[in-house]
Amino acid sequence: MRVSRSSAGVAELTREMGTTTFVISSINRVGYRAEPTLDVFKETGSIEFDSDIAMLLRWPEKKPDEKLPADLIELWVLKNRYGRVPPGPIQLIFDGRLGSFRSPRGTR
Amino acid sequence: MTIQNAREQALSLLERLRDREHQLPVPTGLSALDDILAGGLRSGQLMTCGGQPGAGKTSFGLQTSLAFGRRGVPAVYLTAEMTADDLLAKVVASEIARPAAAILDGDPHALADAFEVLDRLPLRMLYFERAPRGSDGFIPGTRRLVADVSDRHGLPPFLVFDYLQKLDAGHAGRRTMSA
Repeated sequence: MRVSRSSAGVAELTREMGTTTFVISSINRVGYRAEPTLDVFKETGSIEFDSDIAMLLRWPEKKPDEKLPADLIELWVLKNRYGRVPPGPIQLIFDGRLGSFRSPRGTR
Repeated sequence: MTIQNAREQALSLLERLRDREHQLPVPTGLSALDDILAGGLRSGQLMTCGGQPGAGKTSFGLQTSLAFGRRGVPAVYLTAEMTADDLLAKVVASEIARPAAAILDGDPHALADAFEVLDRLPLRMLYFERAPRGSDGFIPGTRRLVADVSDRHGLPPFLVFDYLQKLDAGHAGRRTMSA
């Protein structure tokens, strides 16, 4: 209830003051499933309803013997109120030491 | 109040949009994401980012704040967990390609590099603050901060909350929770 109140307050502030707002939120165990859904935000307030765009950052699930770059990370766009929701994740490179994201080589 | 039909509402909407300044989206700088977002993020949009521990949620917020700053849009980063020093060190470290710890440890080489890049970063557009607290929670204080930054720069900022579950909802929120 307390977090729902917070997320509703953030949504109202965003609309009224015209900010572009980026909210970091905790997730539940659904975020670890093979194909995550908006349920990752369940029990973390009503942020999934208040948001225009909802996304999830997570490390890819490695299949046995699969070789993936250690710094490859998945960005799942789970909600996009005014556009498309892609069926799979965007692959990004995350350099945790420097705290920077970039597109993998060979992509734009 | 007189109810309007959809054509009247559409006309009113288009006239309002025509009369205000053309607002372009701000790209995040990650092309695949910007494609999905039809060019980037827009004023009045609320974006939520969840993630596993260590998956870079704070870094993503900081990198996007920098992207806005570089486009001349101010960014206010409100944190309930870290200090402004920690966040600044992360931003500068990313620019000089060194770990933030090297700056915070006072490594002379890292500090020399950091001084050199200060003017390359859009730091005049960025504000790092502890998330406001108060009996009514973080929203009233945040509204004052946003109004102040909007007045200074002439446009509303990119606003980051790091992170939602740690924000102080205030006494009313606590009463609701205990009820």
